[in-house]
Amino acid sequence: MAIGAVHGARQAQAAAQKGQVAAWQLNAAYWDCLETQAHSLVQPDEPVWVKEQQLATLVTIEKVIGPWADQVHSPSEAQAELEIVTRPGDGTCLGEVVVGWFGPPGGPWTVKRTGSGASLPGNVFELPSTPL
Amino acid sequence: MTTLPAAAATMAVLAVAGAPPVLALVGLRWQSVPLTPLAGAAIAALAGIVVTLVDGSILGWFAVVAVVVASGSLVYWSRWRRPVLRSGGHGSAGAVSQRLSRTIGAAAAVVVGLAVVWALVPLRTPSVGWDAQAIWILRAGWFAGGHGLLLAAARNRSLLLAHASYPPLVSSTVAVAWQLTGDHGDRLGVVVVSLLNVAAMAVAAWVVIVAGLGAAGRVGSRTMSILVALVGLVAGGLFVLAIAGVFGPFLTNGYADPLWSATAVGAVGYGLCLMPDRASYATAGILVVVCGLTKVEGTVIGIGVLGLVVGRAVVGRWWPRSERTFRALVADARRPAVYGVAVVVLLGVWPLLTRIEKFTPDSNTSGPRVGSALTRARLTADAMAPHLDLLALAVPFAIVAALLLNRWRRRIGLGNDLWAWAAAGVGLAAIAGAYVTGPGNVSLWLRTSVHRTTMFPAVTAWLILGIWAVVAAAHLADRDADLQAERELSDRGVQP
Repeated sequence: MAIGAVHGARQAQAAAQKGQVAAWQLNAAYWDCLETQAHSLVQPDEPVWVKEQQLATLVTIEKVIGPWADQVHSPSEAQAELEIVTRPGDGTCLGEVVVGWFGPPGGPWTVKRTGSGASLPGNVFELPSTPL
Repeated sequence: MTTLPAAAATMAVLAVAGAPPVLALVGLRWQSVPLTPLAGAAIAALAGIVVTLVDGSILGWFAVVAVVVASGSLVYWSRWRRPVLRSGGHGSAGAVSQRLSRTIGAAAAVVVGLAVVWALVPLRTPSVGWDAQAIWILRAGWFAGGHGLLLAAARNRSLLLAHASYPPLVSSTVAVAWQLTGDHGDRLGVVVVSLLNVAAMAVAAWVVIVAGLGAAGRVGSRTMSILVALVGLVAGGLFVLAIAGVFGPFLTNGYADPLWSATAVGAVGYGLCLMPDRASYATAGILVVVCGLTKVEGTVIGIGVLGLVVGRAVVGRWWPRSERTFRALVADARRPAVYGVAVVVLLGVWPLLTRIEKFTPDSNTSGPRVGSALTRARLTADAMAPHLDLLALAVPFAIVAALLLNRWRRRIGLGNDLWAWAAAGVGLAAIAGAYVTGPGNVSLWLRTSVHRTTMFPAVTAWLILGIWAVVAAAHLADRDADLQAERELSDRGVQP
């Protein structure tokens, strides 16, 4: 039991080292940045459709808007379409930006707006890997 | 309000809400302290179930459910369980004086508290786990958003990740925390879940400490009995840190697996290992409710553990009275069976509700089924092995200990070791069975989950080792006491 306890105590100490803290602070800032950008585009009661993209991008946007957005079953019920776009430059969250497409309910959505209110310089590859 | 005061306020409110049922069922015991926020989280889960059915905020329904539960607890306590509400005692404390029991209890509370604080050191790192973000905190937004948003989101088949039909405890509790404090951050959710995790660890660790006090009560010499109680105290502290090692990063990043695993192990400890008394069974019952409302694996394994606890209670009533009539035996079995069925019915409400309300079933994210049952079984065994290496030590150790010390274990009043091993076996079989018979690519599935699904048997093994440690200490202490007594008699020229 002592060996197990020492292992557990060391593991806890290692998880709290400066490098880990900084990496996860960056991670938290990344998700806050994307959420702020999404909030700048759609309100919680606004029916929104998530554009079909790569699985990883879909997962990211679902994590960002899932807790609060009114995600609808089909594009015909939506007033806006959201996607995450990878692009270099300012105004991005580690190189990613939330983009909204707007128009009449059900589309076609021709007016493009880019999320605003937050940005984080850098690259998503700097994020820590999450344990599974 | 910053995260720390917000989390403290949430835990205080959960503890206040959970105190009436804990006091009515368990009484004023040391384990009741960490048990109260867990019971409060179960009340938050019930509020989540109500929000699924009717309009209203989760915080409002939490208050209503807490008042209803408190009223029911008061009625229960005043009618049937008045003698339970007393301070001090431990079910297995035996001949240890109340004063010594309290002193050791206070010291153990400090030791376990320090171990828990150490286990929480990784909270300095503001990590939010993948599942925490994609499932537990995401769904907390639904519960906080109210009935309409919850149903719309839970029925939305275009969502990939949320596992709408998972039990509600973690997400409902986070939603209560958000509405209570006005802080809707992921970080608060993670910290509250981490605090619930360590509360469950502390309740489980108390099994070892109670076993130590029980063992101390059977040792003749006062000095030796204090030493045995101290062994239990130290083993309880070590147990907390050892299982923090098993839980790893998942203890403090918002995952639900440490909570269901630790509560299930606590239920094993109180229901299957300690001397059977009403407070221990009640503690086990509350822990099974929390376990079953936390995650699907917890529901299945919690019910399995509950079945064993009921089985032990029934066998315990039958065993010494084999001359009794069959009708009398059935009458004896009725009460444990009724309590067991009541808990199963409570745990069945949520799965039933998700079907009635047409929640999106769990999506298969690992593709079409790959491999035969045999291939999947081999892959499952290979993936589980590194996380269960402790069993390679614990099983032979327990066999040797049972051969040498089982008489002492019985003398202390502890349950047969086989009950706890049976619980670990049930847990392992349920999880392995899901991997072998389930859908998808099992390699991918194992890679993304096996560390977490093996927590329960690994932590049960630590509990078993901790209990054998106090049994061994009691045996050695009493042997020394016997030798000393023999020596004193021989010095006086008396034949022992």
